[in-house]
Amino acid sequence: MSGSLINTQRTVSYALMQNSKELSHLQEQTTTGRRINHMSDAPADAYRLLGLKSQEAKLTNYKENLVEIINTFEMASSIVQSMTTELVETKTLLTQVTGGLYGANGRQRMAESLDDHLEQMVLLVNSKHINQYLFSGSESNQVPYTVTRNTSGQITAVTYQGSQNQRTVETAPGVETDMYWVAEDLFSSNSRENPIFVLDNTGAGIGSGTASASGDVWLTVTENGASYDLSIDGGTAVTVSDYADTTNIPVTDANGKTLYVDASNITEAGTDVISIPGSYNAFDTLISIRNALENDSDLPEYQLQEVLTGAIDWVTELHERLLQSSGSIGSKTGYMENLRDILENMTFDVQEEKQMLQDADIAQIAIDLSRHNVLYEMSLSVAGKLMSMTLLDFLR
Amino acid sequence: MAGLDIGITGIDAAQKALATIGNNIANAGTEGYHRQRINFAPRKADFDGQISFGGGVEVTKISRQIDKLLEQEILSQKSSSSQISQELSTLKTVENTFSEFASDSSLSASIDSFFNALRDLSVHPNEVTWQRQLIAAADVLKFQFNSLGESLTNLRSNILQETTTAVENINTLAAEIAVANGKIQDVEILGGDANNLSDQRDHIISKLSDYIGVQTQKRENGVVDVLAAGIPIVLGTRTVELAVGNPTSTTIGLGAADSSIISDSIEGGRTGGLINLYNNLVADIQTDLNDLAQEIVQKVNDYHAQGVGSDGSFTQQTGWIVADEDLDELEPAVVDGTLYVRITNTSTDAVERVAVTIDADDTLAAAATAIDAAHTGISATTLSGDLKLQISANSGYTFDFIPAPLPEPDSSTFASASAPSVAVSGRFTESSNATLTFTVSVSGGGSADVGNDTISIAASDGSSTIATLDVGSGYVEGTRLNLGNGIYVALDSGTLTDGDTFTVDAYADTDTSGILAATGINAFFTGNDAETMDVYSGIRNAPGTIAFALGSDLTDNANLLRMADLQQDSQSDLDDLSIPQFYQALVTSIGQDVSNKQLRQDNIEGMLLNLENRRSETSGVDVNHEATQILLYEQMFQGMARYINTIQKTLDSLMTLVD
Repeated sequence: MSGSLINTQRTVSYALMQNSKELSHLQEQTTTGRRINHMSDAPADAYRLLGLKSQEAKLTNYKENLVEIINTFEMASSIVQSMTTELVETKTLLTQVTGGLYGANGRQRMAESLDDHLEQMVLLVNSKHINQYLFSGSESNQVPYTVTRNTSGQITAVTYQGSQNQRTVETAPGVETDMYWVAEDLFSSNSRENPIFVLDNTGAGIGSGTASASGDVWLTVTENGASYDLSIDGGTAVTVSDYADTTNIPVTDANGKTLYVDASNITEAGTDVISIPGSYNAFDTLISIRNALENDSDLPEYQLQEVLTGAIDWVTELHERLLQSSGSIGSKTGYMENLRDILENMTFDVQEEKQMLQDADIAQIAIDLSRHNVLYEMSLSVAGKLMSMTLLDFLR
Repeated sequence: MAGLDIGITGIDAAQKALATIGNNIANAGTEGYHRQRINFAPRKADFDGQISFGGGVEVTKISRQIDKLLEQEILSQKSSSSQISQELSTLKTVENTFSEFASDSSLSASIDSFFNALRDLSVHPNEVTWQRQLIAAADVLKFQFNSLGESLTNLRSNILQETTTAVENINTLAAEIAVANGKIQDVEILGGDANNLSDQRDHIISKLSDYIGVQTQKRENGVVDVLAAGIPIVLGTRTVELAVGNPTSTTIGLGAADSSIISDSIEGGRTGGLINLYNNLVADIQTDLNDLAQEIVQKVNDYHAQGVGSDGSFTQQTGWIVADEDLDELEPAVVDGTLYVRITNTSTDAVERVAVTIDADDTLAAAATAIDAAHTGISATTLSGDLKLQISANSGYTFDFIPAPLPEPDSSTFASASAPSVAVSGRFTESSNATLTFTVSVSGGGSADVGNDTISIAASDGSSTIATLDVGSGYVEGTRLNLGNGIYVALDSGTLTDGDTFTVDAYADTDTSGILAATGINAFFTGNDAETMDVYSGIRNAPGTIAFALGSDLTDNANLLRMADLQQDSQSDLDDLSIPQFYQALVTSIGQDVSNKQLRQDNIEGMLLNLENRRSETSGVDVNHEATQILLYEQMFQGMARYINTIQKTLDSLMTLVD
């Protein structure tokens, strides 16, 4: 034996301390199952791990919101499909009426039936999903449409009061989507064409200005001395002789919407029905058709048939618009579902990378534990031997 | 009798050698003890004519087996080890306080939850459930910041206390060294060997090196002077006391108790570690944490101040108590700029916007006066007794700071009396405020009605044309036209004339001075560091005041989206990192520090072990070695005893002859 007692004690203490520290570290890894329990265990990996944890939390948040967005879209899609069904039934009714099977009483019953469809559609479009109106745009706590009724309780106007702006939400990093729909965008045609005459009784023509009136417009021409007064849909009448250029007279309805009329060839007073294809909205059209079925304007039978026949085109246009809207919602839903799948995959990748960085290698830990345990015991054993054996034992 | 004298010197030497060995073995376990060796020399010779005889042996010195260079190195390494050890243990405490991997309720998780709650609310901005969820997430965030901030403050306070205690111990040890010096001097001045006293004194110096880096200078008669932190704290038998002082308002250092010179460059020992922790390591962490909290508070408040919530525009807004009446002394400091206030007449729904010039050199009261004078619909004041800004709407008005453009052009020049009305909407998405100028062009000159002929409107932002709008034939009155920068315009029916113009003021920022965020008007958070950060009480009491909207219809979620985007936006005040990245870098640097210190400690401990083992080889007591020495001197003693016996017998024989 050589060396001092203190020397031996110090070396053994150091070895015990080192092994004890390692054993404690390995024990912590075993109990938590994690390789990194403190930032100092592996700072570079811990930095990546923190970033991955943050990314996972963010992705999870996006996914949760996406589920809600998809549910909202599905609800909206379902409502648009129901409204499409209502329009199909309306079209069937009109086809039956224009087939000449129904007289005035029959048309009245049809008008009542159409009223029910109209009520149903208003009910549908004012639906809520989780306390939010689906079709009010960003004003999702505001009912999209209000109705005005006459003394008989019939709907005479359906007015949109939601926002013109959609609500944009972030659905994935850098990806935004509009969540709540602007009903006017979904249930109105947006491919305005030049106005055409459905009923041409007066000799009036279409002016060169771009009309802002939409759907079907009822032009009333009345005699005013040597001139004519023109009005549309209950708006203020204008006198033709007040205009130098009678080929492009702006006539405005009660809501301030304009139709440009060529009055240069007017030959008599009467009512014209003008259609502006590509500008119909579902509720005004149904109200118009119902009023036509009730023949509010006292049109002769043949002219009424012409208007109702034309109305089939209006409904067809709206039907196509709703199908487009439905397709648009469907395609957005599909996109969102794809996005959700992508986020799922990204989350999976993040979790996998996180686990690779964080999870302890249990087999390796077991081996290391055993190794340090043996070293610990050996240190004690060797120390015992060194401290107990001395030359003094042999001195007599 | 020379023979007997020789025997006596041998016996005496052997006894002294055995005593030295006994002393060595007795101190085999004594910390700081150095093995002693007895040194012999032949005693002076007796001359008998030309022949000289040896005079026996004499003990010249009992010396310590010591390697002075090694001892100095050990002192230095022990001192470094103590410093690293102190820094490591404290940094581990800090690391555990942040507990990033110990639980799911860490600060990083709270930061993520807060921004996720903002995104959740952006899906349902006007629902109180989600508004409360955001407040709850903000509360957790502030709790985490408060808790960490308080922990770090308490830690620094404890470090200061520990430093004071350590310095007291340094002074006590210095006094003990001075006393030991005196005793050693007394012995050595008389020609003695003060080995055990020197060991005791050196052991005290070794203990001192645990507290602070020391240097020693040997003087005559075994006396040693000691310097700590460059200050001579022991000069022979005199001492100079150390004291803790403040070289700056935020740092601590050491200096002689009777001197005003304080140094914060203290190396070595626990004291060096404590001072480094207080001045640098913990202080840096605290600064970073405070910077992060302040950035979150300021950025969120900057955005929040300019929005409105489901409770709509304001009738009154009261800020927090500011620390200084001078605007440029506030935190964050107000700069020269303009505050744009949007005022709504609730009777007519007419909306106006007024610009208030804010001068950073002004006082809060002067700014209040300027706001007060801006429009009859609002008044502003500083609350008496407090440095608090309050803006109120007068009866029949509300106000806000949203950047949405006014619904109509800010100015217009139309030649025709029947010019169309222009509706402006949307939200400007560019990064700085601009005045958009619209100029009408009618084909062939003259006038034309909207929706007829060929009419175009060129929109310019002052430097270039950003869009050309076709409002002639084909344009349906009332249709919104997109300028491509978030702003829409729509024209009603009417007549436009070539050369007509109108302007729209588009706002990206309605407070270029920063006065709203600095004074806490329409704030979300309060406070300006980790400890004081809190959710503004008005928000907690009325979740409907969470300002989610920036648009004029007050229903959009644009403010929430831009607040949520702060999560990934890099911030110049945070080293161009995003908020989560800055925090991740902060906690990683703590982990890196702990890891580095651990590595250094392991290295130093290993080195120290080797040095101490080397010292043991030189200075340690090997019992076996001492045992062999016992055998030697036992033999020597026995030999000398026999020698004396032989001399005795010789003398007896001589005496017989005489008799």
